[in-house]
Amino acid sequence: MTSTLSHVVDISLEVIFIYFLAMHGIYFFFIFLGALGQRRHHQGIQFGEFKRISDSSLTLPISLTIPAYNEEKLIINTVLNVLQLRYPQHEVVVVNDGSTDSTLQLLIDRFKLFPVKDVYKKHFDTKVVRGAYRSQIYKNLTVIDKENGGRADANNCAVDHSRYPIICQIDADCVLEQDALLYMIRPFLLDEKVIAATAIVKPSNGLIVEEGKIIRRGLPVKWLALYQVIEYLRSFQWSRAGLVKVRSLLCMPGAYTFVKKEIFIKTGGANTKAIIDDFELTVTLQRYIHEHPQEGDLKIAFVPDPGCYTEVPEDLRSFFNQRNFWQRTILQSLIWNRDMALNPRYGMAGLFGFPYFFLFEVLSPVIETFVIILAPITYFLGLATLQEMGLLFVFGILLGTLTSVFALLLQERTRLREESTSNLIRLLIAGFTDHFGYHQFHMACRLIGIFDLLFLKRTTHMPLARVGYQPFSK
Amino acid sequence: MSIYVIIANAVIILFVLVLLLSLGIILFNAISLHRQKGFEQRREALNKWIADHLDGGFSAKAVAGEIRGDQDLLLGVVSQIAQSADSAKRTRLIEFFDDVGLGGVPRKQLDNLSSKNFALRQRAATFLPFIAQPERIAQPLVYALQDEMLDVRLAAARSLGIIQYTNAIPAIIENLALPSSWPIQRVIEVIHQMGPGSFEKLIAYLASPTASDAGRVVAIAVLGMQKDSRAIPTIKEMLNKSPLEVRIQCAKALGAIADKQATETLCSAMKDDSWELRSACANALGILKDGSAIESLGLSLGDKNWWVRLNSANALYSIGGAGIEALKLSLKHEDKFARDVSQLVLNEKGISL
Repeated sequence: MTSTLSHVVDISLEVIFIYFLAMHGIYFFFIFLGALGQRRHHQGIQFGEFKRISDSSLTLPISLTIPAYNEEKLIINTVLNVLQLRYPQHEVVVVNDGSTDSTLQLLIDRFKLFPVKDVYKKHFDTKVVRGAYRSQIYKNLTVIDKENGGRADANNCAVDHSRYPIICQIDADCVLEQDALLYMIRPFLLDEKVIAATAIVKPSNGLIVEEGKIIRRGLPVKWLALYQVIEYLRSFQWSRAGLVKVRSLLCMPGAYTFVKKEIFIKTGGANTKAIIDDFELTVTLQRYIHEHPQEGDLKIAFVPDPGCYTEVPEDLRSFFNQRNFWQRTILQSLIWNRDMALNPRYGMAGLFGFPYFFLFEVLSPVIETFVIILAPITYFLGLATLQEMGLLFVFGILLGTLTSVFALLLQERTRLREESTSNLIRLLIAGFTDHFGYHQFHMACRLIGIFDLLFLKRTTHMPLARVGYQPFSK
Repeated sequence: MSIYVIIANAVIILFVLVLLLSLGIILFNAISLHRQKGFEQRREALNKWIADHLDGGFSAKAVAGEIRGDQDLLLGVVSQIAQSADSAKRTRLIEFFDDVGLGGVPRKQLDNLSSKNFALRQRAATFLPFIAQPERIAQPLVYALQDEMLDVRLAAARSLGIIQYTNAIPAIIENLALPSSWPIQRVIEVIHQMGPGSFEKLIAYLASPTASDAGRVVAIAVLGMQKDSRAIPTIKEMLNKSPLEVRIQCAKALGAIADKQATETLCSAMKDDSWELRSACANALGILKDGSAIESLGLSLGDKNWWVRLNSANALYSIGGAGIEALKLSLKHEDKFARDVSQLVLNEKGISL
């Protein structure tokens, strides 16, 4: 009996060891691919290109859509920010998704909104629209007031009211760089087969924003947010760039997604049954790409330039909620679309993207928990000494730290480098220490997320508490 | 060797690697920031010297002494200044290289056009119009239009656009109007940049039997952007006997030219089977603001396609007076869709009913 158990534990240990090596190997590969892609991207930008895009009457107009539910702390800055973007023609459609705070009233007062009777071409079955407003100050601002239906429902409603061929979906807590739209429209202008695009999203905590303008860039003060800066850099910046390179991206961040309106409509829009619609939208787009080969080599693009900043949680409860529903979102979508997994019809998205997200995004908290349970068993069975287990633990930490350091190194090799050496040192310290507490808590959030979806069938999510921007002081 | 011994060795290697990389990053960051600061200072100074030289306040010899070691930077700065300079100043900037004894810089960039390195070819194709006489670079740039890399071709086409070398138009269209691999908007922009001098060449291209459909779309779009009424007969002719994509572009161009000579043709095209064409015609009629189109547009308020209805309603509004009255009348239209779209447009424009 004991020898069978020992054998099982022994094999488990080997499998787990290979699993972690493979996971980090893939991370390194993505980081490398992402960095390579970024280098090529910057080399490919021609002299004066963005000025030409900005001046051209042929540049595609963009509809920016912002779903807002109880966003009174940030909404004015966000709307002001997007209204002031440098772009030849864009409109902003804000959807007040049945807020119970003063979001709508703030918008009415600040932008001098007046009600209009809006007749529009309805593509989606959304919750009842209570009213539409236009601004006396900004002709390109529309605010829609509707009953609460969730983020996806609000996004669909915004697309219904939009009039331009490219939709840019952002969250109500986002701040965009002034040239963000010029950068993002470039892949659509370069290649007509690009149906959607996303870019680097960075935490906005630490930014100083006033009247919608970024006054100063900095790092968050709180360590929880700082750990997320490193995580965004490692996972969202480089990994996404790498995933796009191998055509396996299954998650464009909901905070910053560009999509052709006709494709968004053809795919049925945002899925209102999804916990959060971003992952499901990306998977649906991948499905569309592979189910319509007659439309040519359709693709999703990644722009390796920071265009968007979004607020990350600064307290444990909000962080828990966010990571919990992210995990449920991924798992839910993978289950719904399981027919795509390992299916050659869906190309790399099915053959690599699905297994990757399932093995390394969904299963990793389960495996890590299993390791924690396995450790004492291994010790009591005499399969490993305390020293040997400690060695494995240190090895895991060093691999993770190396990934973070590598991600930072590549960032430094680009024009996105940290503007102060002391900030860089803070980031390095965060990279060294995130395995002592932050990582374990993060894993717990995700593990509970899996449990919540599979066993408690929890498919709702709590909106996050907003912090707001630091006050500006000279 | 036991697995743990291997891991122990790996841990030592990883630890040293992490430590060295971290120190390296910090050092690299500090050096990069320092160099960047220096680079920005030099660029600012260079900018000032060149501006002073152009204003006659700084001798060429003095400038030459300052910039000899910074030829890459010089190219960027000169091009930046040239981008927003008038043609007289641009000519002086080109002469500037000889003035400061750096005549080799344009020569080197011309040589780079045939380099094996794609980045060098692209760079040369981009910067040449800012640093060399047009007659010297026109032909090499035309050859560069056949480069294997599309980016180099585009850079060459843009440069030919900057020097307004209209003889290159057929070659630009032939080598860059490739809808399957390259959005044609970029070609349209390039040729439009050549200005009114390109008119004859474009008309000649449209008359050519070898012209491609994509090329025709480009030529018609540019003629539309030039707003030259002389192009109307040619475009009207093509609106009636071409593939759909060309006809749609014809309607758009007639709208852009905004000459009432085109009203009748556009009204006739409002009866076409293709909704895309009807929609483009409605848009164009809105730009023409010709009262004689009201009847045609009024009928299209009940079109089976939403975009045609919307564009027709918007066009009626643009016509003003009688057009707006027609829209108000349509609020009592027997067709619900016509009523809806009229209401939408009147509401949007803030017209009280």
